[in-house]
Amino acid sequence: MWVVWRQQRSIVIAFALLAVVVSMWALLMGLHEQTLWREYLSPPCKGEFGGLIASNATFCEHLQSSLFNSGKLNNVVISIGLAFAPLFGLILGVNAVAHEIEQKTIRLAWTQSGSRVRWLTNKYLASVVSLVVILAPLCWLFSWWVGASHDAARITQKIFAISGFVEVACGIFCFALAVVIGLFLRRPGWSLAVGIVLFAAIFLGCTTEVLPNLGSPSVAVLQNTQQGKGSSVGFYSSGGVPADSWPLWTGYEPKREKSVPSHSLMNRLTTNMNRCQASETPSLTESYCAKQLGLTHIQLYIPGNQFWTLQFFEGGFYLIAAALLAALSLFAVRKVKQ
Amino acid sequence: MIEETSVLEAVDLGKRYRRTWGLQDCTLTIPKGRVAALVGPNGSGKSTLLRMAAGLLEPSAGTLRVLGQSPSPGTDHLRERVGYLDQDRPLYKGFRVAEMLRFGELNNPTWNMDVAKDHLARLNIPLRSRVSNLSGGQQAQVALTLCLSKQPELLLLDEPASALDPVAREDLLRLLMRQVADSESSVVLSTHALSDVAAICDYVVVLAHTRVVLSDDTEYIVETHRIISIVDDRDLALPPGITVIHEQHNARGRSLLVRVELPFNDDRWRVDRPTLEEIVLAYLREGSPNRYGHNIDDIENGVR
Repeated sequence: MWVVWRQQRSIVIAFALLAVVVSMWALLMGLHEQTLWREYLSPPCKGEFGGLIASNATFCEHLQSSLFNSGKLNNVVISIGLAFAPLFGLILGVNAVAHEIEQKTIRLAWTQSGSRVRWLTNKYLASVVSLVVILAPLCWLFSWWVGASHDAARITQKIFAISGFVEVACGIFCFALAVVIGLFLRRPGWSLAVGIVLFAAIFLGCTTEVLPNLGSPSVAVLQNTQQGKGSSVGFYSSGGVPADSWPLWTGYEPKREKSVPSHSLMNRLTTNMNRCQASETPSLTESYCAKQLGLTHIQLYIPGNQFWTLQFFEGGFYLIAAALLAALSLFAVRKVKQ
Repeated sequence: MIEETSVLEAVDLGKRYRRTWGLQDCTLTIPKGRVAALVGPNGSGKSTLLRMAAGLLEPSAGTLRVLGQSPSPGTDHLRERVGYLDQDRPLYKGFRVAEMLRFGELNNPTWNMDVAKDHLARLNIPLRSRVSNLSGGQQAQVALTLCLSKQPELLLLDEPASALDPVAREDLLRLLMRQVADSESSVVLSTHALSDVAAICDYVVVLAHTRVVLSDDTEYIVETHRIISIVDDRDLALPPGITVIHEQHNARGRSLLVRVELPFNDDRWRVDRPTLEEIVLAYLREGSPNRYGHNIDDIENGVR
C-alpha cells in the first residue's frame, strides 16, 4: 500500500489542493448566494419586486440582479463538480497501470515476490481510499452548495450527479475503467482519451436515458390560461410540478386517465393536438382542441422524495460496474505479457 | 559423472510475437551454481528467454522450468527465489534511492537491507538522491542492488553491464562472482561483451537467429574446439567426428574452426586451441543454425 501511495502521491496531492480551492470557492459562493436568497425571500421582497413601494422595489431589484450575477458562475461550479471525480479516477487509473507499462516499471513490480493480483489489489485499495477521502467531503460540500445556490432542485439532471454520493461512485468507476483500458491499450495518453470518451458516453446515456425510467413519475396537470395586454396575447401555464421535483416530459393524456401515461402515449396525443390546432386557419386554441379530443395538458415529474432512491440506483450502478471491471482486470492482469 | 540439478531447463521452448518468432526450438539446461552467459546478436532471443524465465512472458511452445517450477504468473513462491534485472533497468524515477530500497524490502520477504545499503555505500550512491538525478550507470547499480538484496537463488540479468563504465563493469563482475561464491546462487546473464563471458562465466549459451546454437561448460567448449590452419586443399581429408563450425580465408590459406568430440592431434596441419571468444565469435558469424553440424565432406564439396 505504501508503494502505491508513494507512486500516486503527487496526483493525489494535486487533486486534493484542487479540491480545496474548488471547495473554498463553492463555500464562499454558496454563503454569498444563501445570504442573498435569504434576504430576497424575506420581507419586504418576499421573492418579488413588482407592486412594492419604490424604495423597496429598487432594493429588491438590486437583490435580484445580484442573484442573477452570482448565478452566472453556478454553471462553472457545476461543470467542475461533474468533471472532478471522473478525471481524478481516470488519471489515477491510468497512472496505476498504463503509465507503469509504458515506463516498464511493471517489469520491476511483477518480478518481486508478490503476485500480480496482489499488486493490482493494492492499487485498487489505495486508490479507492484516496478517492473516497478526497471526494466524500467534496460531495458533501457540493450537496450543501446545491441547496445554498438555489440553482436547481437537487434531483434534476443538471446537478443530480454532484448532489449526493454519485460523485464518489463515479470516481471509483472511472478508476476501474482506466485500469482495464490501460491493461489493454498500454499507453497512458490513449487510455485517458478513450476513458474520457467512454465515461462521457456512459454518463450521458445513464443520465438521459436510464435514470428517468428508474424513478416512479407523478403527473401534474397544467392549466393554460390565455392573457391579453394591448396588442399582445399569450398563454401562461399554472399548476405544474413541485419546485423540488425533476420535470420530465410535457404532453397530454386522456381526461379520465388514472394511471401515469407512457412517454409514447403522450407523444402520440401531442401529435394529435398539434394536428387539431393546425387543422384550421387561424389555428385553433389549445383549450378548444383539448376539449374536443378529451385531453388534459400534463407534465410528468419525479418527486423530490425519490432523490435518495435514484442516488442509490445510479451510485449502485457505477459501484457494481466498477466491481465487475475490477474483477475483469484482476483476471486479465495474470495474462498480460511484458 | 555427478548429475547436477539445473536452475533453468528448456525443452523445445518457443515464443512467438504475432507472426515472428522471438525464440524457437530452444532446448538447453543450465546447471545450478554457475554463472551462465547468454550470447547472441540483437534479436536473437536472449531477452525473450530471460523474460520467460522471470515469468513476464508465457511460452508459445515447449516447456520451461526454472528452479524446478514453471515460471507462470501464478507461481508466487518462485518469484521469491528469482531476481530479475531488465535491460531497461526500470526504476520509479520520482522515488529516492532509500524509497527504492523500501520498495524492495516491502515486496520481498528475503530482503537484506544491510546488503543493499553496503552495496550502495561502496558505490557512493547517496540514499537521499532521487533516482531521476542519478547517472545511467548509478541507476543500473541501484537496479542491480534491488536484485541482489532480494538474495535470490537465481539471478537473471539482462545486459547488466551495458550502461557501466569500465571500472563499474569490473566491480560488477567481481560482485557477481562473489555473490555466486558466497550464497551459492546461480546467475544467467545476457551480454554482448565476450570479454565478460571469458572473465566470469563458466557456462555459455550462444543464440543466433532465435535458436540455440551452442550451450555448454566454457571449459568443455574450449576443450572441444580447434583451429586448423590449411595451406593446401590437398590436406583436407579430415578424420571423421570433426564438425566444421567456421571457415575463414586469409593470405596464407584457410583456417577452420572445428568441433572435435574426441582427442585430436594431427601433424599434417597446424592445430591451435581457440579462445572462448574466438569460438563464440565463430558461432555468431556463421549465424544461421542450419550451417552448423556440417562435416568435412560439405566443405570438400564446396571447395572442389
